[in-house]
Amino acid sequence: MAAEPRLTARVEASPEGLREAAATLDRFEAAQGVDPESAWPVHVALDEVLSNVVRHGAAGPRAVLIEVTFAAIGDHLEVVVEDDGPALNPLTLPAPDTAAPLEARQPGGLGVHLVRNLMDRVSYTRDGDRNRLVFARRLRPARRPDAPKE
Amino acid sequence: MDIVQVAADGALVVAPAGRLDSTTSETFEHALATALDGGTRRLVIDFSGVSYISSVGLRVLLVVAKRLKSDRGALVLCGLGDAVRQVFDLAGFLPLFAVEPTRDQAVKRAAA
Repeated sequence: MAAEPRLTARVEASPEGLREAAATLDRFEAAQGVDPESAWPVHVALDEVLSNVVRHGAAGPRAVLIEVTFAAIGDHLEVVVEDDGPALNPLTLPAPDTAAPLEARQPGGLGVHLVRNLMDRVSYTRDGDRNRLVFARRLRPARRPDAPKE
Repeated sequence: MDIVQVAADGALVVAPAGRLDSTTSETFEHALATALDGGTRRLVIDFSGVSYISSVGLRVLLVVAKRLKSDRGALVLCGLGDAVRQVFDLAGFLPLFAVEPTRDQAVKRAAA
């Protein structure tokens, strides 16, 4: 069986690193012929997960490194985010109150709430001294050039 | 991120373009804070050029909405595409904001 297509980026937990990771996702989508209209939830999830790592890692004494791997598995786009920062399972954060009035709204927790709801699956493991978060979403493939028009 | 700002019928229309995420939200926040500091009280944000929004963008909107509410100003959003609307819906943001389909309708509502 052929290995599934994948692309890995190693970036620092920094704004530049986030940009680089998002650009790598763009490249992977283009290479896989993903319909650009359908991939936005993966971009949102990636932004939420990586900005969490940046925020959490900033409290530590040294730069945190992130390894992001994008893989096409069947009709799903799977993203694996591994970092060597302090242990952080974002899936244990309490869900935000999305029914509160404006005055009572707090922005905390919204990011993870979006990831949970936009992705078909999300899981966290602490793997030795690394955090490993995996999330995936089913995507519409872009129409292949040789495919008949619908 | 490119942000176009236009004055229309007593309101300021701010139209960001592209992805509203952690790499661009600072620019967006700065543009809105500058407008409010400059005395803008009737604000329309046109999302028609925004491909998607993540939670940092939502946070900016919360801050602006709270500030305009305490200043007795008006904030109206328009041009929400499917991606932006879906994130608003998941975050429970739709009931918090005045939302109109088009910029013209939003400007009218902000001026009312």
